[in-house]
Amino acid sequence: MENLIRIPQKELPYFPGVDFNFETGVCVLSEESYMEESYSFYKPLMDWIREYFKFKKTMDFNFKFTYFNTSTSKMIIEILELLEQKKAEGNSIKINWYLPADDPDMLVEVEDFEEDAQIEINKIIVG
Amino acid sequence: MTKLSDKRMILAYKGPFTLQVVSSLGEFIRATPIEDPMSRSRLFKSLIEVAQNIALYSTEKITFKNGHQSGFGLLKIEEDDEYFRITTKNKIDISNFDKLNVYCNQINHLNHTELRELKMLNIKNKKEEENSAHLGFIYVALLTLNKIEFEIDRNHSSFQLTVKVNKKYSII
Repeated sequence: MENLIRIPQKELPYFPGVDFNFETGVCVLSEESYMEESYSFYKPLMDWIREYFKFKKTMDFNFKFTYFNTSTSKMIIEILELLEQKKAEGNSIKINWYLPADDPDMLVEVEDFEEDAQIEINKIIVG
Repeated sequence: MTKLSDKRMILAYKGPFTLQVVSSLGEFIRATPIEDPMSRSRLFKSLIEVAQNIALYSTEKITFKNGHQSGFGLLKIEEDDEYFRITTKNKIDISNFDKLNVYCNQINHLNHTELRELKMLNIKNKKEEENSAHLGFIYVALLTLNKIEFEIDRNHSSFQLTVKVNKKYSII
């Protein structure tokens, strides 16, 4: 299975960085996410996660967003619910959310995601 | 009380709201010297939401050569001593007047906890294929801790929204 990589581009700041590594099981979403068609962007990522768990049983999922819009929020919930489902099936999954120190509003949103998706998120303040 | 003359225009834009335009407007705010980092962050986030609302929901569309369509509208940011005010104006479908009116009034009558619950409920109820769930208005009300101001002009089928962002927020 191939890694899924998208390097953030300065001229397209509304698409996040994606670094899903099959070998290590470490997945990272970074930078900003505020595209209009969030479903089109995130669906292949969710397909990759589903495929990954056909081969592996552990994953470290890291959110390193500096900003995301409300359209992305829905997709974040979808990802978290998928990870929760995979966890319930017996896989070992650790979720880390790296929170910018100067953005307390993001912490509130992450707490809402955590409660809604019923999955533990390790919150790490950075910067 | 603030007089009209006390307002200072920071930014005004009228045209299609492509992603590139929305991104440039956001970068402008990031580059604007704003003393309170919380105020700057909330102004940026509110701007992106209301600009994307025009992009998605304005019934006046611009079609580009590649076939991509973008909503057309107006956005301006003004400031006075207390607030940044983002005002948007765009055309809407006449059949949405009453729905929009009820929706905006509902947002303005909810407290912070109720708004958080409504936001999560809307996210959950949103179908996967939908680009947005009109979440932006709830989000900006939550974020700015202010009521949204809106005006529906039935004669011109237009919707005007003003979001007030405090120039100074105290950390809760």
